[in-house]
Amino acid sequence: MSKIEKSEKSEICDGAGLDVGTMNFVAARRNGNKNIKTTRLRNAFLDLAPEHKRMLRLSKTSYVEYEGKLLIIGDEALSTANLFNKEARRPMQGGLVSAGEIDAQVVIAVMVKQLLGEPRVLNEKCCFSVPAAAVDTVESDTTYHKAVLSKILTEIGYSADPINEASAVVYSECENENFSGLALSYGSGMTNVCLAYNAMGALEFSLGRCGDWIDRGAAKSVGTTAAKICSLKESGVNIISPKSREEEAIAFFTRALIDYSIDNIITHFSKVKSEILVPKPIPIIISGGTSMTGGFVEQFQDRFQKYKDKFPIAISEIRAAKDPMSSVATGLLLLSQMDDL
Amino acid sequence: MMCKITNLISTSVVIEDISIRLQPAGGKDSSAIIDASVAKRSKDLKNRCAKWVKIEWYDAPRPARLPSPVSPASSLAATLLPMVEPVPVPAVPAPVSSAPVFPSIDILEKTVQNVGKKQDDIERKQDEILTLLRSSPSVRIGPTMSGPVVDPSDPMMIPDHILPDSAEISVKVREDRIERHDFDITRKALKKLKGSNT
Repeated sequence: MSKIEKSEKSEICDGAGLDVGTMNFVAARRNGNKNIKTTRLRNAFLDLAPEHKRMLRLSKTSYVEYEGKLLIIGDEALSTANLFNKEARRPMQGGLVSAGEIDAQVVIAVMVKQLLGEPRVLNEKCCFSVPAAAVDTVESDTTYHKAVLSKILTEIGYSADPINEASAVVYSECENENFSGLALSYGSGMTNVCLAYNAMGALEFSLGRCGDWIDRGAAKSVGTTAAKICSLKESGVNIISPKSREEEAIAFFTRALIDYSIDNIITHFSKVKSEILVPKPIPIIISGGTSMTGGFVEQFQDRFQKYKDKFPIAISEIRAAKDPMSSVATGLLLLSQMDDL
Repeated sequence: MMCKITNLISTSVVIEDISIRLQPAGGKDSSAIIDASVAKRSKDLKNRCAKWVKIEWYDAPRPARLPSPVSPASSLAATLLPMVEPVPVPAVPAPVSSAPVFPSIDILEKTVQNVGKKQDDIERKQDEILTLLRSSPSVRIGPTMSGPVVDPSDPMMIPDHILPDSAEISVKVREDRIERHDFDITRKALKKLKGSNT
């Protein structure tokens, strides 16, 4: 477990932010006046026969052993799965804790504890991300997801507070616009959308299409596996200038995802238009691991031009979050340090 | 009658009360064939896992019928039916003289009692969880889209204690540091705005 460096004598504030993503967990904590320390773990695990423990120790691979089970956790779960010709297991599916995965709760609990560490004070506040209800997925309910995460955080010693994922991006990125903005968090399992004005959430929803959808679609169209497409995406692809069939497929599905998300914003905003008044132009903030694909924001800006005339809100600019991978966790950390939330 | 259960999702599915694990869809061991009576008595299959699996029922294949022997003296048979030699019937094996393999009645009764107690515990805990979820206040940030209605009859298992008591953990996390000079200013501005919003 990582330790806070004692050489830093600056003031350390209590509170923690935890982004619970389908592909990655990211935690954020203050570590000095200017520094935020983020910790990340890949949200995947792999079960191995207990006799492989010695090999894992020698190679310093992350693992947990309990009740006769040996589980590799994190990035190494994916690479080891390939080695043993198996598939890594994922505790979350479509942005939510997978109720059908029997080891999911234990794996998530171990990962959360490693990321956050022990609470600095009793019942230290920890804000964790929760997706909004999906408008295009049947039976997308966050009750079980919230209950499991709350239980885990309480067991570790934190006071758990669930917060909408995309709204955390607005808090982290829109201080100059008085916390008004349209945030899109493009994760692996879901795309979360939040329209906020003066720090008040006006419209929140999520879509079941995102990084995993791109991987599956591109894999199917070129006859490879989703894992290989994901690996290619993460190794550095530019969707503006694809160099192979696989990259073209990724570019195609990424454009489709962008169009889909803009289309849904138009559709769902029109349903609540009479209840929401946004008097000034606001920025669109793009964050999330999937948005880190090369050329994503440029492609979004380009595709947005086609929808500009029928977009229901005046937009001042389209920009990427300062750090797309940790934007949600940073926003949650901000909220955790507010006394009167 | 038999039943084939096929996993439809990309993570493994465990049907706890009949001890079946299905690997992720499309892969090896993503389906299982079991006796229909076993499938019918599984509450997990009926309730919790129903939306993640496909269930197909079919009759077990009947043994092939042997053709009736035809008399070679029959002229009709000679013209219409081919000559069929009777299939030799295998000899009946001698009865096994070893002790029966069934467990004793006492052991079976104890097992049934234990399962019954565990089921009662599970049902009691599910009620506690549902009561807790119904009574906890929901978090709202302004007007939100209405989501799907929760079905209180869908049991979700959350044990009393999730973190394993005795576990060997060796996990490395990736660390990064971000410099946010504006963090405190942002925090104070947000606090002021939220205070004026209430």
